[in-house]
Amino acid sequence: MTKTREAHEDHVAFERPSRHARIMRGIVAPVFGLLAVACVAFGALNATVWRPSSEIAASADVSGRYMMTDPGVLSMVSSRSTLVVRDNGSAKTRACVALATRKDAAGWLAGHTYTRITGMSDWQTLTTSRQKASGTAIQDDQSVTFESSDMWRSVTCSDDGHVTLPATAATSDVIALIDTGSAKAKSTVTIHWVREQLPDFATPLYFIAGLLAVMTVLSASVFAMPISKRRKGASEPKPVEPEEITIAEAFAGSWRQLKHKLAPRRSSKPRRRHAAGTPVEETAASNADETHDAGTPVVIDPLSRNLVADIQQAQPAEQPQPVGEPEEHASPASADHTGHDAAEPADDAETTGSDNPPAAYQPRRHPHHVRPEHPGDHDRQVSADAAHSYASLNETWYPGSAQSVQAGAQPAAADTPGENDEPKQAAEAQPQDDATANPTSSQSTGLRSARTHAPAQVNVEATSVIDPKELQAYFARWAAQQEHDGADGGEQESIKE
Amino acid sequence: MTSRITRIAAAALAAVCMMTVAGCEGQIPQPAASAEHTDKPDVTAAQERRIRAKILKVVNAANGAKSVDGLDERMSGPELAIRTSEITIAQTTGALDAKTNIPSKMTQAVIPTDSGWPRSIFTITTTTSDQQSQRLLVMVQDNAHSNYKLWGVARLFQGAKLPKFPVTSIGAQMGTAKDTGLVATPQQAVTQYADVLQNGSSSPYASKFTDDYFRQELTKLSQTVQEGMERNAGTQQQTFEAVNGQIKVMRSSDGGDLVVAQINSEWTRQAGEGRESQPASDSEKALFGNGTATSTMKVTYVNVIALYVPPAGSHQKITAVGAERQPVKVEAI
Repeated sequence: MTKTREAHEDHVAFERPSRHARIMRGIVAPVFGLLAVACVAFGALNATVWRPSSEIAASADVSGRYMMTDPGVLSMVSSRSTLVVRDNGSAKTRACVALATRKDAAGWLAGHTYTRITGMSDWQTLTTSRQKASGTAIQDDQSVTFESSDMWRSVTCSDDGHVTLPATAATSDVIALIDTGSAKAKSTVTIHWVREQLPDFATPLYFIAGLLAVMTVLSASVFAMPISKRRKGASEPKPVEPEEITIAEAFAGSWRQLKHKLAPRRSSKPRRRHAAGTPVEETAASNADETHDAGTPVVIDPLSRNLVADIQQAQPAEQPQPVGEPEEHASPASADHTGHDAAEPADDAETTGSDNPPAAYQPRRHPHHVRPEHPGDHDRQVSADAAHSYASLNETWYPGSAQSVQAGAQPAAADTPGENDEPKQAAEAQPQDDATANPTSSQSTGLRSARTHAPAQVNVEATSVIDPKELQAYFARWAAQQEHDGADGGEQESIKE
Repeated sequence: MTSRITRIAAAALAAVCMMTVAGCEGQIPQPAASAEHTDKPDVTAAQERRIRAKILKVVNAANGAKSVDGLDERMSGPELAIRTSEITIAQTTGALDAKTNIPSKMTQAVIPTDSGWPRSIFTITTTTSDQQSQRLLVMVQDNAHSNYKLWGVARLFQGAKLPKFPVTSIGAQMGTAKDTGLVATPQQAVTQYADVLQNGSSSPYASKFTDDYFRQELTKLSQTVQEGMERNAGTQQQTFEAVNGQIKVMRSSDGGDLVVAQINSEWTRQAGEGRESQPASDSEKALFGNGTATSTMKVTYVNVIALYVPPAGSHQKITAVGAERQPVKVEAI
């Protein structure tokens, strides 16, 4: 019932967003978006139509004979400037413009009234002020002409009242001194600059537009979410991060799979050699899983298991059974305990009998696991067991390939009565079936050991495909031998009786 | 209602656009606050070159025309008197003396940074084409409405060592006739040197001055004339006097002053009884012209001397580094 109500509430919340979300998505985000578009538009305009002009021309209307710019006026926009003086009056007089230092101009203007050009009020207008220079004026008849003075760094004069003087590389200590030639003259002074570096307003606007676009997206998404949903609550359990697999674990797992694939299989059934200590119930369950996921390897992390506890758990089930006592397990789970074949010599006692078929054709019996008391004995028993498993067939069909004989396998073979009979059978069958075979007891024992532990050493020719004709001949001989043995036995029993 | 809102919105948009357009040119610049300009050289090297060229143009024009007209446009002080005399003599002799040559190229210019007037520029020329010694030119601008004029020329002595001055881009400083901190004020040095020229080694100031070429030549000439006058039972007397106010001083980098001043001298020669005193040289003859000789002849010389006055405590003597001497007037008394 509670889940139903929550689902209903979620459905309602999905259909009707909160007021906060509506404001963020309906008002704030559009405002940011519009501002971003506006910034882009203004940036484009500033880069094209409204781009700052590289040429600046500021002018002022002045009257009087002398005008002088303040230091720094000529270079306040650019180091390259051009000063133009245009006579607005009717009386054309010779006007001159000179570049000089302030002290030279002050010396020339001593005692005269002049117009100062102090700067710009805007980009098109020069600011002026009128004042009188200190000092005593020198009479004109005692003075050299304006244009012939040695003090000017450069001077230009014109008779029509229109003078243009370029000032290149003007520094702040250079001023322009203008002599219109008459105290009643009315002129227009214009200063032209060519700006080398124009102000860039487009780039900042583009940058702001980008920020506003980001804010638009955030306002419509993150900022519109409830605060509780922006970050995970502290009450919610944190997801368990998968445990990181160490290099050693990865190597061990890979090696285990490779070893499992490369190891020789004694049968077509998969075996769990390393399932020691696993409880029976778990083993059964794992087998059920294996049945379900056939072909999928099960990785067992040995580091995550308490092997000592597993052994202790497994021992109570094994202790009631005496060591080496033969016990058969009919369950499929116990059939996988083939890795602990050290007790097979005890099983062989049951299988030894002249009336039994060769071991290779008998249903395989799986002895119960018996832990060897000594590791060396365990290996020896494993070898003996393995040799016994292939006793009859190997002795018959792989006689001459036993090149490497392991001594450890001989005592087990010698202790087994059935093992002593098989070489005899092979010795009798050898001259008839296989001329290349060499059925000796020691060689056959060694061959079993070699097949068990070193299959790579088996002769390739001996492991070739068995001809069905040969197989039929073998069974025919075997049947005849059984009949012959049965007749001999009957005779012996009758003699005994 | 809607149209009103539309008009208001349009006006606001237009205002915003205008504001944006107005601000597109950037912030209106203001004149940079300039540093103190009084420490800048009065003229640049290029200006000095132009000024010197203008002066030499006028001088060479006068020399070529052998006319003194227009010399005062670019000459003043003792050099105006000397050049006038030279041209006058040249009018008689037909050629200017070789010593009147002024090289057009310079090796060093000393430009002051002083703001007021008069201003001086000291320029050292190269040697002449006939390997005469370098000339020390003193160009003076009396006021802002006048141009620089060649005030004095002194031929530098062979091996003379001038003090060091700042380069033209930095500028030197002008001195005055009353500069202190020296072994003697410039005016005192000139006065004492005039006494040494007049009295020789017997002058009380002789120990303050090193021996120089100008004094040696004057001594030789005086001795030669004295021998002739003694043979004719005549007498001679030469007086030297520093001209007041005709002194230009430039302070050097090592603390001393380079002083260029005018010293006028009068050489009065009186022959023995019943004899006439004649001009002693071609220059005097040219200047004397067709005058009637008497027993007494007075020759007025204009001397321009250049002295280096070392700073006090330097254990150096005042040294004459250059001079010029020209008779400007010969008269029979």
